[in-house]
Amino acid sequence: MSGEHAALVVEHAPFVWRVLIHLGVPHSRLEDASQEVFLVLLSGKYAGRSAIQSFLYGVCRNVASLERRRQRDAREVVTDELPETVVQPAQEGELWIKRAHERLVQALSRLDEEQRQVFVLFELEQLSMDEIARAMQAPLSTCYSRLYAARETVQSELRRRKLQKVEASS
Amino acid sequence: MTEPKRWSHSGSEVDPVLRSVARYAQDLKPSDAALQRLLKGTAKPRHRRPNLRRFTAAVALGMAAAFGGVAFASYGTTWLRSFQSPTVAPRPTAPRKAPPRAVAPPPAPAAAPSVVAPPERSATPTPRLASPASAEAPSASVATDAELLQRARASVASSPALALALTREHAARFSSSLLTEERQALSIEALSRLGRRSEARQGLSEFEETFPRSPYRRRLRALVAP
Repeated sequence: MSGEHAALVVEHAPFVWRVLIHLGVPHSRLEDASQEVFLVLLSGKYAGRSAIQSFLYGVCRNVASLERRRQRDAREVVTDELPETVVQPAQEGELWIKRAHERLVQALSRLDEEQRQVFVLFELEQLSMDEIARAMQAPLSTCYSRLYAARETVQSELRRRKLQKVEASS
Repeated sequence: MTEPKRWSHSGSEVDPVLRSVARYAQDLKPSDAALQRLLKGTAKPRHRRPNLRRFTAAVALGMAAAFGGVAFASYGTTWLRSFQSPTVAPRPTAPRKAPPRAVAPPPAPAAAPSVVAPPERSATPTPRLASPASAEAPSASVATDAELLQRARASVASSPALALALTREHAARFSSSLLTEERQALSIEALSRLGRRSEARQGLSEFEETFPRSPYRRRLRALVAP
């Protein structure tokens, strides 16, 4: 039984990890959050193999919500800043893509949940639009609208120079 | 309806920086060490869970997700076929079902700065088996945008005047670059190293207003301070 569990974790951990990141879970919380997702999966609540990715996305969404609530309740300031000790001149060249990706995650948090879901599943998890429409039980045209709206919002968010300032004051 | 090209696709018309970011995002995964801890943490049944209340809440919500909240229809293993779909960029991605491997984030197109895996993601950084950048010619634009900044960064300590000129060029050619934060940090550093203290200070105070959570802040303060 545990061999089967382990195989499930190994197979789906990358998907869960990425979805949690793009739902805004800070890196410092990723391991705990992933563990929560898999404990739900392995607790017997999931019925059949076929819809497992669907189930996992839903659980990730809920775990991400729990994380946000937990942060608010604890009045924690979870700074997800890159550790400042690594910002040395020689290493700064490697930071740009991480910073840009952080901004992407912040931009994604501006989307409504359905738009974010289509964006994450299409652009990042590389499902086809047909698969996404089936998964979300929505018409294909609706999914396309959500994708285009998501892309539009993300691009304009990323161009706003004051993005960081808005984040700080919100 | 025809599917659009994904942002990560080499033929997509999105900002090349976004293309790199999409590819980077696609390849994020837990490090081997994190995966091992995850396996350990989920190995035993419930009684090992430290916070039972939270777990119960998650289970309850998980049930809601399965039955109503985000009720996906089954799409089985067809999602794996998306990796062979013609709409996906024809780069040799290693199959996702392969055993986990320690992997560094994908190198950006050839001339752009290399990316180093942070410790949490890759315990032993090793070169990727299949690099998207090596599978196709790098886009000229992304090589120029990020490459300009890389050259500025490489020269800022030894030739700050050159670095400053490069940041000016970048500002002119890529005025709405997504790497504006990096450019501004570099120009402040260059000004400071050139002894142009008041300009550097002015630049830093504007920078801190625009990017209050920037990881470059602390080092810039140290450089610019008297």
